[in-house]
Amino acid sequence: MNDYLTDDEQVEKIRQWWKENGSSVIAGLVIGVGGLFGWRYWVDYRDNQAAQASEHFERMVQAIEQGQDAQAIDEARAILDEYGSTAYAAMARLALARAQADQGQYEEAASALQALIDERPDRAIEMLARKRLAAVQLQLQQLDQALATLGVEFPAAYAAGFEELRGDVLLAKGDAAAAREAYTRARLAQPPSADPRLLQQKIDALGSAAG
Amino acid sequence: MLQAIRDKTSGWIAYLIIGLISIPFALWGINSYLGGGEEQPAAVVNGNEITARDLDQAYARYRERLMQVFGGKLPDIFSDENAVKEQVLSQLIEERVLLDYVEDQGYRVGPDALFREIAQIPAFQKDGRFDKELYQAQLRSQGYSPALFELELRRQKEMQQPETGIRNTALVPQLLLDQALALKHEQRKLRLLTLPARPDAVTVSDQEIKDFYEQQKGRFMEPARVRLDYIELSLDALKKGIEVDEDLLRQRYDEQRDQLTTPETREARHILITVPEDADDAAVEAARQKLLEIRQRIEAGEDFSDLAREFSQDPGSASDGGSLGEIERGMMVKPFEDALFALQPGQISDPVRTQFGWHLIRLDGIKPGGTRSLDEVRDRLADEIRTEQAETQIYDLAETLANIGYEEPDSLQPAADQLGLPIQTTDWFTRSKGEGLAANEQIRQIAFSEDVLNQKRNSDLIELGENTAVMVRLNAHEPERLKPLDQVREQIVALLKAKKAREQALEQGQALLERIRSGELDLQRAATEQGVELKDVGFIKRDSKQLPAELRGAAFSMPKPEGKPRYQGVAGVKGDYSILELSEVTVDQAAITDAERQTLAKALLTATGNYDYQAFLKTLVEQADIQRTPVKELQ
Repeated sequence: MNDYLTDDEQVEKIRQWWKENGSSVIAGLVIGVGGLFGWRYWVDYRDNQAAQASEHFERMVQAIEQGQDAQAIDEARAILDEYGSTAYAAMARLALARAQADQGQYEEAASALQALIDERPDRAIEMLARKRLAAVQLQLQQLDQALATLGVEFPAAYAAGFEELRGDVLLAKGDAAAAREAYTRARLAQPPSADPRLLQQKIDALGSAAG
Repeated sequence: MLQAIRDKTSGWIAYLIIGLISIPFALWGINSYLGGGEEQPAAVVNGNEITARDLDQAYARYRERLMQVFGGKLPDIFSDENAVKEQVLSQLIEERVLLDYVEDQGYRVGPDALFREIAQIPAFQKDGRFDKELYQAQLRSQGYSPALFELELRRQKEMQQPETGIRNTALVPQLLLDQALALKHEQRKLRLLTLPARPDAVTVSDQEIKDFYEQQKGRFMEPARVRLDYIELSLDALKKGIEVDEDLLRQRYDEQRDQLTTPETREARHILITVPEDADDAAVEAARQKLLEIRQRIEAGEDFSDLAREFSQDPGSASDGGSLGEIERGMMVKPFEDALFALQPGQISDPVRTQFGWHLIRLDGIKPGGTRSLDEVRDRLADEIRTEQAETQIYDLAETLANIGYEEPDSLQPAADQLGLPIQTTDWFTRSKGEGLAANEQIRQIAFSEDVLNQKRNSDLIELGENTAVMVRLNAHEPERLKPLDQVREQIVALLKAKKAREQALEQGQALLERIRSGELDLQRAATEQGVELKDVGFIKRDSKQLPAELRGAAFSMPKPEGKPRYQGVAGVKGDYSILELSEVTVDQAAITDAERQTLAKALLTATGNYDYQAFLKTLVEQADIQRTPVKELQ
């Protein structure tokens, strides 16, 4: 239909169209380009944050290895304060618990692990935190809490660790028969317990032989 | 509309069309069943393929690494290649799962950390410092681009982080450490009496021996044996029969003359006074004068080597008394060479000008060059020719032997006649053991194969290494047979006596244990009654070497005594029966020193960290979406 319009009419038509739609077009462009840059910026920002947290992480694990608990705790706090949304936050809580347990501060270690569990991390990390929390709770003689910590459905890969600890807790509660059952389940699990000889000693100590 | 379609699609034409259309659908995907499809991946992990090629490469690397560890020999597990490959595949799957996890969770090694990592790799360091050009050159020579290398290294570092994090944060509370220490250093107070097995005190009847022989025939079989006839084709034997033609020998000698000729070499020393290229005439002359002075001192009796050490400015030779070693023509610059090859042994040259400066040269000795004579190399050349000829012959002979042996499968004689080779015979051998030719397992297998043993045919031509081949055929066969009773009688008597003695000790021991437990006897009186020694073991620990393992194991799994001792019977491996008395359980506190505490704490932390990481990793694998093909189904 443009065939029947003069140049002026065409210009006028375009102007008309622009008047009606121009602001939407500009807004669309701004949003599109802005979104693109925003996305790039966000990806870079996230990578950057993770890389910085990673530096703290390396210093933190090294400090633990060298027995410098205070420094490890500082690094862990730095990660939690500044890079709490990175994957390293979970590692920081694990390190905090370890360093505090080393110093005999089991209550604080338990809080660090409980906080990690409350953050609902991925399942593999959650189970790890539960296993460690139960060990700390055993130390604190919070035996029922320890059983509750272990009393979730766990992946087969954690069976040896969970069952051995459950045995330890049950033994502390004075239930030798139930402890022996738990230890025996731990012995049959794969991957095997951390120290299979120690586990066997625990079973033997419950008097497996008749007499 | 729909009604119209329905109307038109009835009748046989419609069915025909539907039939035709359905063919491609029915056959769709059939090529993957016929093996013509894409290569089947070894595993698919969260949608990412691990190809059979990836697996093969990883397997080859693993194999090579183990070869290095075991000094070129592979451990026995490699006899089952597929089983090893399954393990390698599990490893690859774990790596892939971990990589996905690390990327998904956002573990990140930044550029600074990555650079620090690269800078400390010794292969990229020059004089102890990172060198960028060396880095790039090293990578190029390995077929890596820096970008690719850095990506792989970064991934590797990122994949290590969860592991380091988990292992290093393992925790073992005091209470569990104390428990482990107490268990490790537990000690138990024991007394023990042992009723020995007395095989000499029991009798066995002829009937018992006969019954045992009848029931256990499988234990008394003499394995089948065979002897083989064989024709052996060996390069060494062939070589012995080859006469080497004198003309050929001479021709070979002429061909190799160049390699048999060594040039003259001269042993020399020199003293160099350097002259810079842009030096003026005065400086050049000063250097020459200096050498002339040195020359005079040598002629006055001073040692050339000492003066070379003192004055020579050639860093390569000065400290060695100026020695240049053996020099051939063409090794030195022209003026130097001309001067050297004009000298007599012991003589010293005038100063010689080269681009380096002025030299004083002394010739120490001449090793004349020359060509080795035909007689000197005759044996070597003759052997070379014999080997070549024998190699050509052996292929023809092997083919002839294989053909005749196949065409006349009922005898080796025609082949032997044709080739002029003797038929040899092995000694008797069994499927599992033999000597001479039969020491070779492959030969034994073939000897007991259907074709050779039952069909009594000539075997195929069997290659033994590069230079030998044999064809075998059955000479004699003795099937498996039962050894006569007389031959195994003693063996049976010993077995039966041991069994009876064991049963007797067990029976007596258990009766005795009952009486002791009921309080009728104490251990001392029981020992006296049985005429055996009462052994007062005292306190022992788990790792004590004082008692055999089965007794220790039993002692440490007995319930703790409460008020009165506990008793436990243990059947020994030698048929004896022991009764253990456990009277006290304590912990050896003296052994729990600070050092011991620390050692065990460290060991427990390591073991716990190890377990924690394994459980973590296996959980990731458990949760991943993995389709895995059994290795034996991969081509």
